[in-house]
Amino acid sequence: MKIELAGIRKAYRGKTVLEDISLTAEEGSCVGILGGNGCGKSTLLSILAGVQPAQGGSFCYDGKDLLKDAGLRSQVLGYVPQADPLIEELNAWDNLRLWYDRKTLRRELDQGVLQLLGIGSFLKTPVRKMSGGMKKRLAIGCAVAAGPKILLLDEPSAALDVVCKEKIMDYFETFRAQGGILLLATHDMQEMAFCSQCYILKQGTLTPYAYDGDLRRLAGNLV
Amino acid sequence: MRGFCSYLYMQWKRSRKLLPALLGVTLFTCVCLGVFGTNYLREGALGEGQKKYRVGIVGDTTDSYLGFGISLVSVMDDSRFMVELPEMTEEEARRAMAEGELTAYALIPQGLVDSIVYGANDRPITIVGSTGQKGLVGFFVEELAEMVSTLVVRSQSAIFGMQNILSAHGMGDVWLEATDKLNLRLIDLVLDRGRLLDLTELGLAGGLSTGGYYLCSMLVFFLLLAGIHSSPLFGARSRELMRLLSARGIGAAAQVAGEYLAYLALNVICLLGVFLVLSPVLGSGALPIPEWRDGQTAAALFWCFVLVAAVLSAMQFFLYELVSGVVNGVLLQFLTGIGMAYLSGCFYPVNLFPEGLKRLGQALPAGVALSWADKALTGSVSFQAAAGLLIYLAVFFGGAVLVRRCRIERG
Repeated sequence: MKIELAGIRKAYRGKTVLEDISLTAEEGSCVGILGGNGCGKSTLLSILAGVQPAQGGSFCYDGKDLLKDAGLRSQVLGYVPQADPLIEELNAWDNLRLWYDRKTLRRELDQGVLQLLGIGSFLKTPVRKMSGGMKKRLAIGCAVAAGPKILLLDEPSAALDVVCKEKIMDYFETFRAQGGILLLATHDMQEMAFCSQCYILKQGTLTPYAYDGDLRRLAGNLV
Repeated sequence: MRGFCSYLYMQWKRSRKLLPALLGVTLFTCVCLGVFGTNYLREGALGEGQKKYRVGIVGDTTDSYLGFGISLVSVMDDSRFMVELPEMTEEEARRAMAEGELTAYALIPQGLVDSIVYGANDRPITIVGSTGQKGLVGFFVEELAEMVSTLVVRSQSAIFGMQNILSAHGMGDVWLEATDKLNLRLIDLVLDRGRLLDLTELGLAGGLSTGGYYLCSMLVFFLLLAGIHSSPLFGARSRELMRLLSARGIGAAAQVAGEYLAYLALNVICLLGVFLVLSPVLGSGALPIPEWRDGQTAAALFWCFVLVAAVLSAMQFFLYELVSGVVNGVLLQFLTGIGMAYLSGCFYPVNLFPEGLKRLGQALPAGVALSWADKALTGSVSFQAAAGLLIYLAVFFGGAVLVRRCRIERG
């Protein structure tokens, strides 16, 4: 199983944001999309998640175009946007119930992905009283309800403390080990190091980049 | 479908956290309106102690006939319940008008009576109103001018005309007695004019009594303002969640439907609270509303207002979709609610408005709701109003879906 992005294009009011975006990723891989603020990383992920329409191109999984097949997309793809998609007035349990049926939710909390993310410890806490790390873990927990094969994450560990970041990275490790494909838009060094392949998104085009921990070189490439 | 049901259930869970506060506000509003309504509608509230208009009498009132006439009008005429006629100087009158204590003043020119006696009648009484005076006050001032003109000018002309005729026919010896008789007859006619006809109140609109009309209009007003106290529901909505739901198959229409139904349920529960308070109060006769017969009226009116709540909730939902931020939303709700309530006749019956405004007010959602409710209170059904409400419901719901779709796609 692999994913193939080919020729994805997007323009806002005549201004090209993404032009001919193409890449391939095998199962168990993690793809990092690097780039300056406003370069189009979030737009790319939201197009792949089916939130925004593309003006051209395809996103194939197992030979099927996920941009055209919403049913398959909701089965195989999980998406965690930059801002947490949670209902502030409700607690973690209620937010999860939006995506899980009761039985699956209990099972996942006991021995599944939600247990791995440590969500059980703040199940009754209202979202508005949660820390950033709790919210991010809960958002990931919601995104993986359907047991996706591909996970799209927009800056997942931005502004999180080390402990939360570690928990999330542990989960990513497990996800990859199970054959999942991760696509991360990131600025975080730890996440970049975690990626099996990196790309720089600049002026709408995607270029492969071999991240070696040299931030100065990376910054030079981003400008 | 499962996704939609889950979303609807979550929205209901979210909305019901607001329920205790909303019920508190509703109860408070009911008590305030109840106290106000009871005092306003109780028999005799529009009696002598409630003079509405003060019209100053300025100028030469030294003539005994004129003074007598003014005194009769102010003390004995039926109009004394509506109007007060204080005598004052022109300077005092202008000052009082500037301070809003006086509606208008009548300026009686020097030598008015002499001018009438000699048949010249060239010194008209001037009625001075404030600039831009329109509507009821303007109408009243015109009526007053007409009244003064009839009472003073024509009666005086009649008396002096009669004296001339009697003199010309050699009956000068009886004119004093005849004048007294004519004067008494005129006074009798003027003071008795309230008995010339029987006034039957047909109601303010749709044949409703004043109490019935204001019951419906206050309920519509209450529903118009519901958008303001529900603002916390619309402030904390996550755009990312909207987009994610859309990607997972719960599109703009399903999202709007889920949120709207939860919000509507909240408003209907508050409405039920109002009716639970209102029903025994009206049933006991504390508020004189002749159309209110029994619990059946309450049930019929409640179901009628469920449709009104559906339309006005859809309108409020649409308005919150249009703007971003709670402050902007509340401001828009407030302005729309108050403006629509005023134009549609929640405060004053639309019949008092100029024709153009009247038509506009009746065509607005609150106006259509009011005519629907008016009919329901009298036990009949207005299919035209029902169709109007359903069209508005579709328009607001469709509008909200379109705006939501734009929000999701624009990111």
